[in-house]
Amino acid sequence: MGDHLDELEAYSVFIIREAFAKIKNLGMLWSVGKDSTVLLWLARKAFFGRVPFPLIHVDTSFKIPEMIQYRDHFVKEWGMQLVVGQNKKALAEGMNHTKGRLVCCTALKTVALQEVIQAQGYQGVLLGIRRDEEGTRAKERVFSPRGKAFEWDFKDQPPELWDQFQTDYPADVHVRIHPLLQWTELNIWEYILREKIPVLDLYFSKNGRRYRSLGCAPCTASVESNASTVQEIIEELKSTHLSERAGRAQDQADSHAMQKLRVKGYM
Amino acid sequence: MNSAPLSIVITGEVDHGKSSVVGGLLIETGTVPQSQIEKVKQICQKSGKEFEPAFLLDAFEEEQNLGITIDISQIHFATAARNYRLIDSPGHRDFLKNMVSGSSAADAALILVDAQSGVTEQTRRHCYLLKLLGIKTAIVLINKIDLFQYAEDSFLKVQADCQAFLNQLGLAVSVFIPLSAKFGVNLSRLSDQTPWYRGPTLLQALDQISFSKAPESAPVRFSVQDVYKTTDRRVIVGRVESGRIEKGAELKIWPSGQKIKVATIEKWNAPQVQRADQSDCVGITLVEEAFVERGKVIAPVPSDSSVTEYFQATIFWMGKERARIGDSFKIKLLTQEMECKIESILGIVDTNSLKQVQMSGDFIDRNEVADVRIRLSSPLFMDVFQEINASGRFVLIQDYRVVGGGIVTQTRAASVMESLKAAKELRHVTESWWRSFLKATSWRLSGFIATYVLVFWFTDNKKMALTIGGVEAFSKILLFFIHERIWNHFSIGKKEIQPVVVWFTGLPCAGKTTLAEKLYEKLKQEGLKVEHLDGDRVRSLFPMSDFSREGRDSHVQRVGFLASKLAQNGVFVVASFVSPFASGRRFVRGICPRFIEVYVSTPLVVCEQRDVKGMYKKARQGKIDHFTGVSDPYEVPSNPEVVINTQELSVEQSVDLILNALKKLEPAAVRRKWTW
Repeated sequence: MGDHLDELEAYSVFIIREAFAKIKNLGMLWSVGKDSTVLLWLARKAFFGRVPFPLIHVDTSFKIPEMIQYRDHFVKEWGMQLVVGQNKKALAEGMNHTKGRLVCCTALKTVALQEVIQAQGYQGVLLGIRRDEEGTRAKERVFSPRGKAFEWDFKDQPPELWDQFQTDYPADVHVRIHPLLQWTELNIWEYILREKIPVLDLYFSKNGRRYRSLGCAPCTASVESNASTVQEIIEELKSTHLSERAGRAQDQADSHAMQKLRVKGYM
Repeated sequence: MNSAPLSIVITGEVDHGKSSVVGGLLIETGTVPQSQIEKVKQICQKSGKEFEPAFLLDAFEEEQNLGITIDISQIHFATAARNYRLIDSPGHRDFLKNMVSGSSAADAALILVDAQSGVTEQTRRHCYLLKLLGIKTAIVLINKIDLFQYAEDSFLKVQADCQAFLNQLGLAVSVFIPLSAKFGVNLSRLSDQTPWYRGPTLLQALDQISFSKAPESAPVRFSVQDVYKTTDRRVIVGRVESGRIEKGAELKIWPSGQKIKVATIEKWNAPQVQRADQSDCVGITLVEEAFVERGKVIAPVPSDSSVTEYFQATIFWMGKERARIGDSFKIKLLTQEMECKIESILGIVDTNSLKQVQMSGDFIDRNEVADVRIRLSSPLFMDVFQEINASGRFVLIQDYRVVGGGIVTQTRAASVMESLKAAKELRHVTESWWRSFLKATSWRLSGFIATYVLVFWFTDNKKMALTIGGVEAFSKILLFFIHERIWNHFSIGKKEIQPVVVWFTGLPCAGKTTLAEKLYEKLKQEGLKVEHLDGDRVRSLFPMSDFSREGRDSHVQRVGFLASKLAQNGVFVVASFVSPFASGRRFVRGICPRFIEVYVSTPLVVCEQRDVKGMYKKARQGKIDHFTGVSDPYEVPSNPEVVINTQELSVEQSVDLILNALKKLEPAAVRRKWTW
């Protein structure tokens, strides 16, 4: 070993295998974005091509249409099992971002995720969040327990020594597993390049703009960019000073928006 | 090639300005996007606080309001030389477990000390924990020197204090740097304020840290995470924790010790793999199938490590409740998991004075470091931390939570080896040749003087007295030498006793104890020193020994060790144990130079009819697990010195048979040669 991507890959594979060996009912959240697609790729690495647990997609119904097409295509091609979570009740009552971005995110993403976790009885969910995305994620553990009400007790997180993660939990606790915490945005793209992982076209520049982070159509803005290949995105990232989630409206809704969302169980 | 970032943890007492140093580093290396700095500044404005670089990391609202770090944060930055992953850890005592979590993942440490308050108890505790966690390199930052008008002597004073403590601790410091994080002094540029300081800036000091990975030649340790089965094969997945695994390597599965040979090393969507190095996560297949499951360790025959159920460790206690002697936990060491107990607390380490304080009670409080003895309910594979880090550290779990972390300081095998060595040394305590020579000379000299005095008294002739005395002294030396050499060839009346270990093995109720007791009496009547070790009685002394294969073997090994020690000290040993496995008996034979294996061959049906304690009945009803003969195998000895069929022979006849074998046993004595 010596190459950093090899080390990151090995560590993530280690985490995914630990999760599968120790957590009974496991699922993997797939937002179809670049990070969770890399996570999916790593799961295929860990299990030699055949992922032994279902993918969970939280569909807010406001996702950009290409995202859904892409999702369905690769579920079929890679032989995955897909579970779609949706807060139908909130949608029927007309929930959307105009009711307040944090209210909308909580209802359509957090609550939808909680419902699907409860309905399927998942004890653990693999997520593709990274420490370099924003401050509260930087403080996450690899195995991060969520209590009955799905809340994140960030003031008293379990110790994580020498890759000995907390893998035993009482029945009413579920655990979020974060195999990509160590990765940076740049690492993600370098790995996509090396492994030739197919990602959504939305990430590549069209008419001088591209998406750097993907979410719901009304709350996700594209950024100015001429990067139209993976290689060009890597070059761009090496020189940019704009934060990755600058195009995500919910982050800017409040001084501690992400903390407020994440304490309640947001990804 | 994309090299891995160096992980650096920064520690320091609360309020010493740690997060400010980190924030400053991030701003100076251009790591933090301007937008993020703006965002934090906006937040500060809204809440009416002055902007501090610390807020870039202390993302939680509570952290910013209180001005402290609650949990670790990790952030990447780069210098021209390399990439870094900086782990910011909380300094507050309440969050020590978070500091330990952060530090356990680091390659090197930045220790921050406030120039004003100097080395505090918390600083010392942090340093001790860093050392315990295996950190080898540290840089000490003496911050807030602006408060002393950048005076050199105030810096030197704190440096001297630090140096003294760290030397005592054995933590190597590459450099001490005077800093003022608030004013950006000596972070990336040497400041005019400290013209007396000519060392590196913080960034330069970081770039100068050299870090080498463990060599590929280190012993192989592969922790098994899982076994994935497909229709035609079984792939063992896990991580190389130390050394290098190559195709075709011949290794063993521990703790069972079964031999395996690696057929292939596998990765998905990757080029053909010939070998796997430390921290590689791979799958391996075997040439011949073997029983492997999660929690096993693949390694060569260990030399300094061992499979043990008893070891000594230094632990750091993080539980909310105190740890007490006798408390039960689950231990996790690599992927191995096992129940364990704290058997004794040897002492609490005072991280302030670095002295082991006398036990004040039998408990360990939160945030304390203690030396303990731990007993496992069944043996695990482990190494001493100093030898191989990955397989020498563990965590303790209670009620789902990690409550302690620890490093192995001594394994049972290590202590056994030491006492064996000590025993050998003891046997060398004999007269040295020059001592004998001196004694002989002084004896002869006094003889000569006596002869001289006597002859002079009777004859009053000095010359004659001197001659007779001299001739007598010389001739007697010669005569004694010849006389001794001649007597060496006659063994008349010579009695040399060399103790023997007589080991009875056989099914339960085969009659081992009865025979052993009779033999014991006979030997005693001969006037010999003799000891009888019996299975049932010894079991009560080792209550934690279980009845698994490993448990039984290590039990037999312990008894065998005891027997060999007794024999070394001139005591005959009669031992009666079921000892069902050849491996355990082989071990005992190996450590006892004069050993007689007596196989009591009573067939199972007969033993079951006898069933003295009703154990067979219970075993048949399924009330007892692992009962030899019923639910556990008995490996018949392949080459015992004596076989006793209790159905054909009386007790007397049997014992005579054994005594005959004892007499026939070759003396392990030194052969004498005819030499002058």
